[in-house]
Amino acid sequence: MPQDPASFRDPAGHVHVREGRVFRSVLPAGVAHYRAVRESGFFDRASSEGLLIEGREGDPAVLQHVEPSALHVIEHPHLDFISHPYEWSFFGLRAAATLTLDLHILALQHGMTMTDASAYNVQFVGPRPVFIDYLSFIPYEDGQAWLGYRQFCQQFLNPLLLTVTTGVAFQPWYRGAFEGISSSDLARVLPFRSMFSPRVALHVKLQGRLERNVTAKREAAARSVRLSKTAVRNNLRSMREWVATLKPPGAQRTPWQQYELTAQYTPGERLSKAQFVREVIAAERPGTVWDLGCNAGEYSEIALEAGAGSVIGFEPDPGALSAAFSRAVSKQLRFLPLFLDVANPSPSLGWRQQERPGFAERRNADLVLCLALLHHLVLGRNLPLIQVLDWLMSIAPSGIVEFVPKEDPMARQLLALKPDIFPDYTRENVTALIKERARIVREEVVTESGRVLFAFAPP
Amino acid sequence: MAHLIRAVGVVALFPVAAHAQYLDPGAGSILIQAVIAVAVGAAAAVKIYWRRISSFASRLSSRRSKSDADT
Repeated sequence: MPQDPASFRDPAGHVHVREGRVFRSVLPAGVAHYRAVRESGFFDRASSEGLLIEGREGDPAVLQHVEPSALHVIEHPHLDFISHPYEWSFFGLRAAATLTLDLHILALQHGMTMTDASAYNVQFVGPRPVFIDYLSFIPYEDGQAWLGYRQFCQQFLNPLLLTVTTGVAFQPWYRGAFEGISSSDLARVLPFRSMFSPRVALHVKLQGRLERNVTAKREAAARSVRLSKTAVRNNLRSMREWVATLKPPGAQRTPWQQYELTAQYTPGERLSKAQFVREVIAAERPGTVWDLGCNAGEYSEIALEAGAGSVIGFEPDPGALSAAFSRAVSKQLRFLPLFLDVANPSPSLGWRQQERPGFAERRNADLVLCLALLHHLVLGRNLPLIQVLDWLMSIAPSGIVEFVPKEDPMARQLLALKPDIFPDYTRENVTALIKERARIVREEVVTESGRVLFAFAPP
Repeated sequence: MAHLIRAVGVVALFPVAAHAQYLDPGAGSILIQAVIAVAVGAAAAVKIYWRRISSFASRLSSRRSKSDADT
C-alpha cells in the first residue's frame, strides 16, 4: 500500500491510499495530541459542520504491514480530485483561507490550536473547501502565539494580496514558489499606494523586513513573547474579517468572462450544442468529467444536469475562472474549476518531484470535454494536431471534441495575423485521427459556420 | 479595566518553554503578532469604550456650549 508521497513531513502520522480507500495513521509521536483533540469534541464538531473532512476510526491492523507502529487509523472519504493552491481561482484560495481561520478559531474554543496553516491541507468538494489534516491540531498552551501565522501569510494572504494590489494572477508565481509567496518578496513588488493600508504595512512590509533581518536579539525577543488566548483569537478574527473582503481588481475582468454572452452562436446553434453534450453524457453516465477550457462553466453545468457525478474544469483565464467558481458556488454544483493552461499543465513538484503530482499523474476522468479549444491549441499555439488528439484521448476513454473550421469567425481571428501553416487541420483529418484511436459514437454539425462535435468512446 | 486588558490581550513579556512544533513560526512573525495584537486589541478596546468616550465628549461639549451661553 503506497504512502501518499505528499505525506512525510509530520512525524505524528501519514496518509496511505489502498484500493481507493484513504487511511491516516496516528503514530506514537502524535498520539497524545490526537487523543486530547478527539476528547475535546473538536473533530466531531468541525466535521459535522462540514469544515473538516469526515474521519472514522478503524482497526489499526489495516496498516500493520506498512506502518506497524500506528496506534490509531482514521479512514477518510475518497475525494474527487486532489488540487493544489496554485491551481485554485482567486475566490477558491480566499474560501480556503477563511476556512483555515474558522477552524483555528473553533479549535481555540475547544482549548486546541493549529500547528500550521498550510494551504495544501485544504481540498475541494465541488467549490466547497474542506480541511483534510486531523494531525494539524494540538492542545493549546497558555501564552502560545499563532504558530502558523507566517505560513498563512505565505500560502494564503500574500498570493491574494498580489492579485488585489497589482492585478497580476498569483498562480504562476505560486506554482514556481510552491511554498507560497514570502512577505519580503511581496513587499518588493507592491505598488506605492498599497503602503497606505496599515494592514499591508504590518503584515507585508514590516514582516518582510523582519524576515530579512533575523538577529539573535530579535530571536530572543520572539522567544519571550506570550500572547493571551484572547489576543490570538482577536488576531485570527481580524485577519478573517480582512481576507473575506479581498477582491480581484477590475483588471481581472477579461473578455473570456463575457464569452458566453458574446460567443458566435445563434440561440438555435447554442441549443443544439447543449443538446449534443446533454445526450452523450446522459448515455455515458460518467462519474468524473474533465472540462478542458471550461470557460465560465456553462457546459460543465450541463454535464452535471445530464447525470455526470462531478466535473473538474480547467481554464487559464482568471476572469472566466472566477465566473466559473461563482457559478459553482451559487448553484451548488459539484464542479471545481481550476487554473490551468493545457499547453503548459501543472508539472509534478516538490520533494522528489512526487510531493505535488502533476496534471497527467492525476488523470481520473471517465469522460473529457474539449469544446471550442482544439483550434486554440492547433491554430493559436501551433501544437501539432496529431499530438493534441493523442494527448486528449489519453486523458479519458470517452469524450466530446469540437472541431472549429478555419472558415469560422473565431478561427479566422486566430489566423488574421499569421500565415496558415496548418494544412492538416481539416474535418476529414480530425475524423480519421479520432477513428484511429477510438470509435466515433456520434458526429454532428452544430453551427452554420461548420463547427462539428464528435463523441468518441473506446473501440 | 480588566476588560480592557483582556481586549488588548498581551499578557506580559516573559520566557516560555519551547513548544514541540514541526513548523518554524519565524522570529519576526512572532514579534509582528505581538504588534498586531496590540493594534487589534486597541481597536477593540476603542470600540468597546467608544460609547463611553463619545458620551463623555458630548457631555463635555454640551457643558461647554452651556457655559458659552451663560457668558
